[in-house]
Amino acid sequence: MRDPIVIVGSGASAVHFAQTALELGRHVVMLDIGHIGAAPVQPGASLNQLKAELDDPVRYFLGDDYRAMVLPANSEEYYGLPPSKSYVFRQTPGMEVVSDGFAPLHSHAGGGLAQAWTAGCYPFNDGELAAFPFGWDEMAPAYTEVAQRIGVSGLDDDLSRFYPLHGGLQPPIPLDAHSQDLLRRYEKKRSGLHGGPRVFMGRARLASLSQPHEGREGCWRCGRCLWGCPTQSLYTPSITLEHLKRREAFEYVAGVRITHFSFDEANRVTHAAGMAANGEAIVREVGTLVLAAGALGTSEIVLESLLRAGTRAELHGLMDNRQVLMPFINLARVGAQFDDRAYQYNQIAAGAPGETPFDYVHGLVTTLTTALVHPVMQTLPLGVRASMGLFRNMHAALGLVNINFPDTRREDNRIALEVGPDGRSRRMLIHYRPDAAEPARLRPAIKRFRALLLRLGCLAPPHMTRARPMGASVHYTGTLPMLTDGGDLTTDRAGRCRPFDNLIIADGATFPSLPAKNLTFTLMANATRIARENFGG
Amino acid sequence: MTGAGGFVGRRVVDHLLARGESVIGIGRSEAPAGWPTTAPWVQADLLDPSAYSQTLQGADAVIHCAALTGKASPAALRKGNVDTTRALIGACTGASVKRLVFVSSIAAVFADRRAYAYAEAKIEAEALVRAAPLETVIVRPTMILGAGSPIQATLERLARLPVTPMFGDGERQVEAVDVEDVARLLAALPRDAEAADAVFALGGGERLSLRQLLARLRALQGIASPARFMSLPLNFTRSCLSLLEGPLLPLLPLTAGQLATFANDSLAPPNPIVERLAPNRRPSPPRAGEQAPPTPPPREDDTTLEREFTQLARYVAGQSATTYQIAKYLDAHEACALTPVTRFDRLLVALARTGGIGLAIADSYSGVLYRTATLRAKLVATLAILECSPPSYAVFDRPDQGGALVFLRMGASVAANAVLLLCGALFLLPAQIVLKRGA
Repeated sequence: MRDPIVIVGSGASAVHFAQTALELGRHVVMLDIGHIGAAPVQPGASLNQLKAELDDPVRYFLGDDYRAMVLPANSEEYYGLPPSKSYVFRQTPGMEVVSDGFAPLHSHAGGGLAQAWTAGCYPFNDGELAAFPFGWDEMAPAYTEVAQRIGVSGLDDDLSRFYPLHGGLQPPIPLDAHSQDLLRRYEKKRSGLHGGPRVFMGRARLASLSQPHEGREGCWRCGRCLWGCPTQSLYTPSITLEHLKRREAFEYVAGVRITHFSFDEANRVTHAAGMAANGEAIVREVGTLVLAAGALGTSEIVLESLLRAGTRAELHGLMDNRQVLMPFINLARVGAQFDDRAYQYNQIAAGAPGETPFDYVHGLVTTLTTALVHPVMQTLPLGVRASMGLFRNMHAALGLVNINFPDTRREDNRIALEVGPDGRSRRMLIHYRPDAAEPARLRPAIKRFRALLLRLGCLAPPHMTRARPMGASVHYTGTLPMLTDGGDLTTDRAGRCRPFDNLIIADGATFPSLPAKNLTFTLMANATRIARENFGG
Repeated sequence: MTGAGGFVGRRVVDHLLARGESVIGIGRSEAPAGWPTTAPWVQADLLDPSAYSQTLQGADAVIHCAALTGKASPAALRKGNVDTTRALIGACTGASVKRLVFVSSIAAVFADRRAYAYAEAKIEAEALVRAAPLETVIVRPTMILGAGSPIQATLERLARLPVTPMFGDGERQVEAVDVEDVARLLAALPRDAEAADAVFALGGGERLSLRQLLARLRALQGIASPARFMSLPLNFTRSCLSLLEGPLLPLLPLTAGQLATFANDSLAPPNPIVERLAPNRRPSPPRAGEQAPPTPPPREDDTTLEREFTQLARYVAGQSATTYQIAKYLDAHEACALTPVTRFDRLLVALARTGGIGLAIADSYSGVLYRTATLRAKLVATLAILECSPPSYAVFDRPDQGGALVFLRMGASVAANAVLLLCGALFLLPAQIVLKRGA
């Protein structure tokens, strides 16, 4: 594999691939659209201090145009996207997407979708890697390497049976009072819970620092995770990107949308091409091309490149995690004082083993700490004043379990490109259907999580438990899978895309199956492993 | 504004003028009767840019509403939709127009576009717009209904018949949209920063099968007997029509392409831009017995809103409103749909403004029986502003004192809400039925 190594994208996979390649002495060019957000305001202030001290706090929290204000007419969501994160989903003109059974989200931010992630770091175990052409032993060094780079906090506890231990773990961030209460009860009822609903609980593994790490501070619980961690305690790929930009052998080109690559008769990729923000065509010579634009972006580039070479193809096997949201109320905490100095995302995780290790169902238990509460308040079937009275007393008692289910590749779930009548415009067509057995898999797992909550003294009203649409978890994978003996448009264990000579796929498109656990940590580790396999000598 | 004298364009002009915009209308014919005197009219053929390119100089945006629809040859449809759009884009570019808002059609995303030259023309025009070197917005309305709608007139004629012919099974879904809602959205698009380069469909939010749609149009014409349908073979009819169209187009009642509506769903997936700029779209066609509501009125005056916020802040959080918060409440009325539109909405807001028990009743009622009420939106906006700013944000974090008594208090609060709701329902429920949400 020759230099320059040209990487498309700057998300979780891209930056860790780049860092590993640079550490192995290679020359790396990164081509990216790269929208960036504003620097955090008043980094030393807690959420409530911002409300008290900013000149125009309503503008900061609700936006210039009040977009983050959730009114009854658009009250499907429990929160509005904070204006400070709107850059993550800001779209650039490009391909139109027509989707069926799938609600895709894209990001063109520098750092990608993980600029808005909740920092969950859960390594896949041997059972979950069963369909991958390698196992835990080969992934463990990469997990450790990434953990050492980004800082992962967590604990060896009941959940270690599902999350193998890797190196580079920091102790966890101190728990908020509600999470403490839940874990205390779990400790008391542990044996009953392991025997009955068979659900295990423990500390979440998070890319959020409890201690200083490589110039970043430990979390001081300012309650601003959702608005963008002001101290970089919560890791985002843009932190690595900034670090890469300071290296000599790295060239970062932003404002470029790569649409396709061209290749010669020997299937050797020669150029990456696309368009700059001003409409100017961009062509860049490549030694090795690495696609890490996210499964949808990468698939789009591969399909467009083939189309330009006269081949109309479809990519099959698109996957995403089904997520079920289960709000709950902890009765013992009704009327408790709410603490605004708390970590905002989930600090507890829960796991429900299935018949095989791959059937494991993954739960993230978030207690309601700091948040804008008017979207939640208006969901109560009462007048606004009565809701306010109730909510003040329930705030410290509310929580949400986000239950994640695994997915497998199915031929019928596919991505294709449609050519417009002018011959130049394109539409991306996405088709997704869950497998027929999904309802039968979801129901018993939901019951087990509800039983867990009940034993912890929490009520989860059944009518409020709801499945999110496919596409909502943004764990898109599977369109160019790593297979030992795959045909064209599959990849080998080193991410090399068949039949091309020098094309590496380094993102989620290569996953041959999708376990229930949040995938981002594995994206980073897998990109690192792929870079090592290709350039490690 | 191209197509400014047309069924949609004329209404967009009214909405633009109401927003304080300066508008120039471009149309093929002379200015239509009743054209506003404040808006210049330019008579021009879009295919002849020299006739109007001067007009575009200095324009912030062009809304391209002109289109050729209905029964026409593929060549005419192409000329009236693609060639005109190409010429207009050229003129816009020459005049440095910043943004082009293109009114396309849901037909552009129909999967089955057999012999549907109109859909193909719209797709081609969309591609031209997308490739144009300026900011663009592409809107694809579904079936547009309302007074003066050509398609509504046709469907009404069919629905009036003792037996209504139905091509195919009539189970295709349609999410028709009222022309006033289309106009309201289009008028907001030229200056909406987030809409730059967006492409989205626009529907009214209510899905009906074609059978249900025709049955409703029948009922709206005062025909009491239920609609009866006679199924006609859709694909066979389309094949026959497409064969005959070449030589016999002038003699045919309709074209094969026009039957595409019977073969495709006309649905608009939810879109944040639409929900923000045109929330609370009316059912279209209106449910039997309902009249289409009037255009949203301009927002209430500052003094009224200032008094209103002061009252609401004290009511929901026991807080005095600060000058900053009042200013934000006025701002929010500019940005969001917080002005009552229907008579019943106005009644609820008026009742709330009486304060005390009137406000409590209107709040409880809208919390249970009318959750999309404008009053409720105003109350939620009040919450949002209060929770984000000092000194009121602290109230949201403060539970009541008293241990187990808290449950008692919460129970009492719910019970009080129920009593207020019952009191309110005694006269508000009949009022809601009489005034109707859409009235």
